[in-house]
Amino acid sequence: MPSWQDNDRAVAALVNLVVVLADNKYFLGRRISEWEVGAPGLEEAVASSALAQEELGHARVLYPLLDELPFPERPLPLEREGDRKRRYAVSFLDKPWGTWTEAVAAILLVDTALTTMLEHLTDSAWEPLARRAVRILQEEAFHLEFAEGRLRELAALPGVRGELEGHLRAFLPEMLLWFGPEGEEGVRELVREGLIRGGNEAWRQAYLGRIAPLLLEERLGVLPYPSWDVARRRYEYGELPWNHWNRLQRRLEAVSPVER
Amino acid sequence: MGPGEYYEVFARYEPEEPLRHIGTVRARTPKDAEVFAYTLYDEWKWREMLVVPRKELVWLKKPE
Repeated sequence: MPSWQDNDRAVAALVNLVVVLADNKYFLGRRISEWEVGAPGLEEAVASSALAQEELGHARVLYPLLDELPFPERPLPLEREGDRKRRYAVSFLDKPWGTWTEAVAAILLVDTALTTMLEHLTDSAWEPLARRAVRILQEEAFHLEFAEGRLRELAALPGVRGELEGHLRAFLPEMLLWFGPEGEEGVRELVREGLIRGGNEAWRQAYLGRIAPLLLEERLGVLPYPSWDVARRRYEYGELPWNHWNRLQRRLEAVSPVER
Repeated sequence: MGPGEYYEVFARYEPEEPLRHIGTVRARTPKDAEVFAYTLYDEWKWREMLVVPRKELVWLKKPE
């Protein structure tokens, strides 16, 4: 038995990581599948169908990993949306997206975040997870190219830019929260045991390094944040709403009417 | 989303097989053409696959 399996905090963090990755893949696949007939063109519709299948396939290969972890009361794998009350996916995957523009903003931001995390798992000390991460990443290159192409296409349409910027501004803070506060205890254990590379802020910066240049190049008004800090060689993103973020489920909680 | 242009899709399954024409996609950029060809014609695990803008083809003979 690998020595890290004796580290309860590392195992608990690993269970959480796997279910968070799998749930986000599952709900992303479900949401994309709703656009198989609603996408603006035949090619986009066929590509959406392929993406949805692959995302659901990724969830399907991640969930069984939970059975291999010595942890009581592991979350159940999802086969239908209502299988489990507690969700470990970002909040804007809860309901169908209203427009293709919203779908594109969500796909780009969520799938890029998932890919960023998987890239830090390719040499995990837990070999089954590392193997799956490598396999999933082989398919992800086309997903990100698809999302990037759609974003550039929408950004070029004057009547749509405002809506696109609105969705990106609404979703980005939650995705930045998703990587967790710097120095999270469970993450430190995972890194110490060689189960993942990097750390909360390193993941967030890697994510911004992928997303921000595209947003800046397309002059999308998601600024003033994120913006590049020349002195510190990192992206600044301002204050994030940590008090509304559920650390276990890695999602924003609804803001109470009193705080609105 | 803009009309885009046509790209011809070619692929090979076995190394000794000749490259064959498997279809067409319409896309606004070469990168989109790649993605659309990959997702539309994924019925085989192609060993080789490529897209060519139709306008780049040099016609020796065209149907009347």
